[in-house]
Amino acid sequence: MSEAVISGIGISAFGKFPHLTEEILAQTAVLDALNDAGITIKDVDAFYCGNAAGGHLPGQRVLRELHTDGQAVFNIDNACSSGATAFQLALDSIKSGKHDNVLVFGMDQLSTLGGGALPLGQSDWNNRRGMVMPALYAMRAHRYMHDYGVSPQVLAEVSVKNRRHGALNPIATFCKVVTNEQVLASRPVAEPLTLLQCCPGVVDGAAAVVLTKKPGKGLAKPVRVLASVVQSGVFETGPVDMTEAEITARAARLAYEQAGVGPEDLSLIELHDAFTISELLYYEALGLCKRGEAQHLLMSGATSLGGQIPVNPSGGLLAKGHPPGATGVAQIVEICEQLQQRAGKRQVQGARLGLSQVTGGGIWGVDHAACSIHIFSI
Amino acid sequence: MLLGPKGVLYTYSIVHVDRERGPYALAMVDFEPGVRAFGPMVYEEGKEPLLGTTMQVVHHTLPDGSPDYAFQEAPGATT
Repeated sequence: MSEAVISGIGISAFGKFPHLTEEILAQTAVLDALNDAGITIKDVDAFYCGNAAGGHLPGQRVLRELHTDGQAVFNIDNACSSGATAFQLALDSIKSGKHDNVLVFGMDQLSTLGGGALPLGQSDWNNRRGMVMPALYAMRAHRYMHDYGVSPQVLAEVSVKNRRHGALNPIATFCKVVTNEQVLASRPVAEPLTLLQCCPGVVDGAAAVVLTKKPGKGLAKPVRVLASVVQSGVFETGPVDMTEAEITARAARLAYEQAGVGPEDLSLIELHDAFTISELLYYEALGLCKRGEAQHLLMSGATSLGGQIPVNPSGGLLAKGHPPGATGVAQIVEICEQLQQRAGKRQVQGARLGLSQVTGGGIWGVDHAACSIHIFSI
Repeated sequence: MLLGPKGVLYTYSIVHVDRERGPYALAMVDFEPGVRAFGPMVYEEGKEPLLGTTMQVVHHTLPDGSPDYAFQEAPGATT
């Protein structure tokens, strides 16, 4: 079995670019990743594209003008886990010995779709009642605050922290530093969540990574993949504890086992902070603290840059926005930049081990339809 | 075994994403023997129920005219 390493990374700006196309955004990331990996598009054996909103054949549309030799393109839609799922399939193709160089990219353009919460299928009766993702998370937040005595200020502090991080990230083009009061005073979306506690809904972006059979010839030191997990939701009926992020906890257990590390060994985490409450639930699901203790971990500063285990040093989804196809790959790009000591002002000193976590999708009766966790080292 | 007629409010949210419809509430209510139901919640503004409140099920109509049920604080409800 061959070992795969990440030999190149690329990322576009994240922002509102209605005058561009998702193909152009992705091409930027793809070309940067190839250049960083020290290879050309002709060296790539297969392409894996994560995309959620772009319709048919998004990968081929991106690559058409880059003049491949017609190598295989795999298009993967797994909602918000699309990019991370594509990454796992690409990784497996190298580990199995089938390929030497593969390119993973993910992109979405939401600015041309109109704003608001991501649309859920109207054939679902609960969606006709007005169910939207912010409402689901708001209900989780309400119960979590009730069970563990968490104040609205604590919830808002997640947004303050991540936007503070994001302001140091050049690709987070419209991220602004905000105060706790501003977060709470922004308009309600689904109580108790206010607008600034939800990731921006209208953002375009793309990210790409090159996976190469070890050792690779990239410009920066290769990044090793210690664990790659994709899990799907389990149908649960009955009174489940909505403050427990079941699928993330399950995927995390598998990932730690694969990597032979524990949460205490991690230098940084990029996680799926689509809403402020998500970050607190995931601290607990990833084993950073016990159930109900996430508020203390956050307020201690441990998860801020400069703390013991910085979470979302990129600014996360709250600061960057969340083009679903790109998000999983963008998280991996951030972890690589951190491990390779090229994260600029948001550098986590001495970063050696990073974890990325992304969930995906709302279908009724499961915590999430998909979840992917990766662990990387240098 | 009969379900209900009264349950316990597990969680809810008042949702503000639809300007035409205005704010509406969605809730999760637990019924004996171990069934959680989801649906709209009707409430009096400023008198939103606390989690743990006893709820009853009432007739409701969705904005598109479809008949539905909704949860409402039961008369003389306890939390």
